[in-house]
Amino acid sequence: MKRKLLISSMMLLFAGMTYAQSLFDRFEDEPNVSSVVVSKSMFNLLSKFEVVVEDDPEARDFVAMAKSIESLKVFTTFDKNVSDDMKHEVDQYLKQANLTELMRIKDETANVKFYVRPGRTDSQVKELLMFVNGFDTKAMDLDLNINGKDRTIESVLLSLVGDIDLDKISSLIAKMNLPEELNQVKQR
Amino acid sequence: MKQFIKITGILLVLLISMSSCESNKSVQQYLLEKQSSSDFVSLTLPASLLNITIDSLGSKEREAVNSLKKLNVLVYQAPNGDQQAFDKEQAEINTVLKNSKYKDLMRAQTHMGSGRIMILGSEAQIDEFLAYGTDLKSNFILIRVLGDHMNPKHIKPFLTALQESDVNEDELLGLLSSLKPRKE
Repeated sequence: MKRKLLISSMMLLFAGMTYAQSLFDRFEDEPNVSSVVVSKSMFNLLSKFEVVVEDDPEARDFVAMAKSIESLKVFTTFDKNVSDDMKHEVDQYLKQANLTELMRIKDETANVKFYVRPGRTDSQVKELLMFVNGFDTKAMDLDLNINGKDRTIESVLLSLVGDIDLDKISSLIAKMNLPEELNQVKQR
Repeated sequence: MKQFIKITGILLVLLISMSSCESNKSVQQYLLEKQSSSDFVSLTLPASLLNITIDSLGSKEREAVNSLKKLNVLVYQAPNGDQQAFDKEQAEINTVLKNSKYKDLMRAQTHMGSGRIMILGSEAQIDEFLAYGTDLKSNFILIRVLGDHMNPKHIKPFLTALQESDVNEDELLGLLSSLKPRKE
């Protein structure tokens, strides 16, 4: 009996560990990846930090949303191989997680895809995943020269988990300096 | 027999807790240890050095100032840019941070460097604030702000208080430049 308890508690622990080590976290240790990871605590803090001004709807939206965000992760890579790896990981994740495609945009500058985990209403979602690749920096008129080397962004992966209101996402983009591509969610 | 199992059990628990104590160096222990190391530069400032005149402040600002206690800054510079020495020190601080009780607020990494911000306490009442940054080549810096229930609501008024206070910038800069490690 005791042994059973021990084994099951061990299994629970392991399950917890693998769960905590979320799918994309390994990109944080990848040298060719730039990353930003913002925790729930930070959003909590930001929502308290922001002084609510009644006549500033953007600030009000931000406070309302920041309280219910679980995590934000942004990974950017300049490396083709890592980019392929990232795409593979995203495909895997989409298969196993219950995400649906929200929209796809392909124009001369990039290829943007949005996926969501549906929530209560159409604009309320539990998770938002954005994957951008196929950048054409020439078309974007971007000159990325870092450390004397010409660099091109290969792909951007953004994951936002929590209670997200797609209609109010612009407040988050403005306050957190998020990729502008996210704004396209509103035009859906 | 039962007695025997009990005793070994207790001993085992003790052993595990002792060994974990040893390997889990706290941030405080780390700071103390490195302050006496010649590769590190450290600075401890009491909040009173900020020269904020309490009388001229509103109650909120006063509360913010009073909740601050101390500032620790620890800077590591690898001797002669020794990459191996840097990697070793970085691995150590990373382990200390990983095993600490601090909550991660944010982590960021680029090809130019990486950094993280952590807190101790709750989001409404922060006891300690920790920032770590490195250029991933030869330098890193650890900043700790010690306080007593620092309320994020008071941070904004505090910043305005700081702007209005007459912090002697030259004095602070002089202090900092005197701390620069001597070139060998």
